[in-house]
Amino acid sequence: MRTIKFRKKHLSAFLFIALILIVSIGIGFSESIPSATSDFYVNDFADILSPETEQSIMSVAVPLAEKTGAQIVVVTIDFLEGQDIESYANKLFREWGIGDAKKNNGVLLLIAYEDRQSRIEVGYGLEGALNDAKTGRIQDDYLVGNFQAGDYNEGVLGTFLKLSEEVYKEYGLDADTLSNQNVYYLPSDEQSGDGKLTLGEILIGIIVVIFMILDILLNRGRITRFVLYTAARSASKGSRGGGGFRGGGGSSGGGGSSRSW
Amino acid sequence: MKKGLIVIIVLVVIVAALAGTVISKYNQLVTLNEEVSVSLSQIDNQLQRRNDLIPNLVETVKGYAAQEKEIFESIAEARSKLIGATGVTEKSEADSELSGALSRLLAISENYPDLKSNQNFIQLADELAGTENRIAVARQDYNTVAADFNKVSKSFPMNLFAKMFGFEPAAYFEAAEGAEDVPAVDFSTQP
Repeated sequence: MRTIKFRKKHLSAFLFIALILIVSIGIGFSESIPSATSDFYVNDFADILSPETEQSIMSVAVPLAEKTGAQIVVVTIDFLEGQDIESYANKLFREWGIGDAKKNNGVLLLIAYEDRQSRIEVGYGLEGALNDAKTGRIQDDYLVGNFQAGDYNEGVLGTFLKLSEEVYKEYGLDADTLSNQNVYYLPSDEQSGDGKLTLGEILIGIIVVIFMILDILLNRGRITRFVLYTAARSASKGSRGGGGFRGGGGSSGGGGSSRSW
Repeated sequence: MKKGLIVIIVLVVIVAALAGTVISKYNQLVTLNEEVSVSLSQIDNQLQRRNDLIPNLVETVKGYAAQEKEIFESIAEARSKLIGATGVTEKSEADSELSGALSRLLAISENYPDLKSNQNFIQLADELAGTENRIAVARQDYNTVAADFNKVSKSFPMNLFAKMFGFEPAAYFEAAEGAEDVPAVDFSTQP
């Protein structure tokens, strides 16, 4: 008698926890934007960049920001989580405050790796130097071709250096070293393989749910709780430690262009 | 005598408190009203920018796909409708009609490989997509401040005074119903 009662209580507790998990995941996944790493200028959440690439980006982005306030930020993520890349980029741009608050001279290069989409979003202040057509051309010339070939480091670095070159020119800085450094020119060929990952995404989703249920049933949800805890911690703003770099409070009105590969 | 005094004091305090709230809410409404018009002019800027882009884009597409007359006509029609539109609601309807016609124009490029790889077309398409996105962002920003404005003007005590001060509720700039629908492809008109 006692054991049955105990189990019933347990079962309802499990159901309750499961419900809360599902709801919180639903909420978390629909709107969440990751918070910036302490490097700020390069945030490789999708884990596709080498340490050398990240270092090269930092070595250009940090002095540029110190001299002009212009911030060029690279972000890679896995999935857009149901949003279109334009809204995601704009939300992230404003939340992070990329660029100087008065000059609004930020640039965001966003890569949604698994969704095979990229976007360059430009703050108001740099829309003259980097108009929509130019940002599209830069992606065609430096990003799409390299990404189609699987060369993600080359694609990101080439695009980043080309963007930096344009911003250097805008502020009358010497851009020659940057253009000499940029050997990643590779226009895309016309073949456009459409990467339909929807089935794969569904499968991953099912596996995750099964794993969570098993985890909750057999392991008292330890792993799920841990994952949720980390997610909640990374989602909460201002939890970043001292040091590092941060946004200058810049905004964007949605300028730029998007590509898929 | 003493009782009367207390009543008067209580009344004065209530009236003063009410007047204080009304004044501070009034100031808040003035600020929000200003923000509403600024955001609306942001939308207008981008609508204008798109209007200026359209002739170039249409000319470029005509060079490769002159037979797509129907789309050119619907764009011209929607464009002139938007130019003549007054008021937020009318504008937002004309805007979504034009957006739909333009997305059809971009979609036909799939049928014309030469057009699709034309450098000039790619540039114009990027400019158009960027402007469409700016309109979407400006629309969202406008709706946010319009909602803030309406919230203040419709809640107590301003619901009693908003009309008196001449504050009209701000209309939302929304995509019209059906604007998100995928345009139907009519194969019967093929040459």
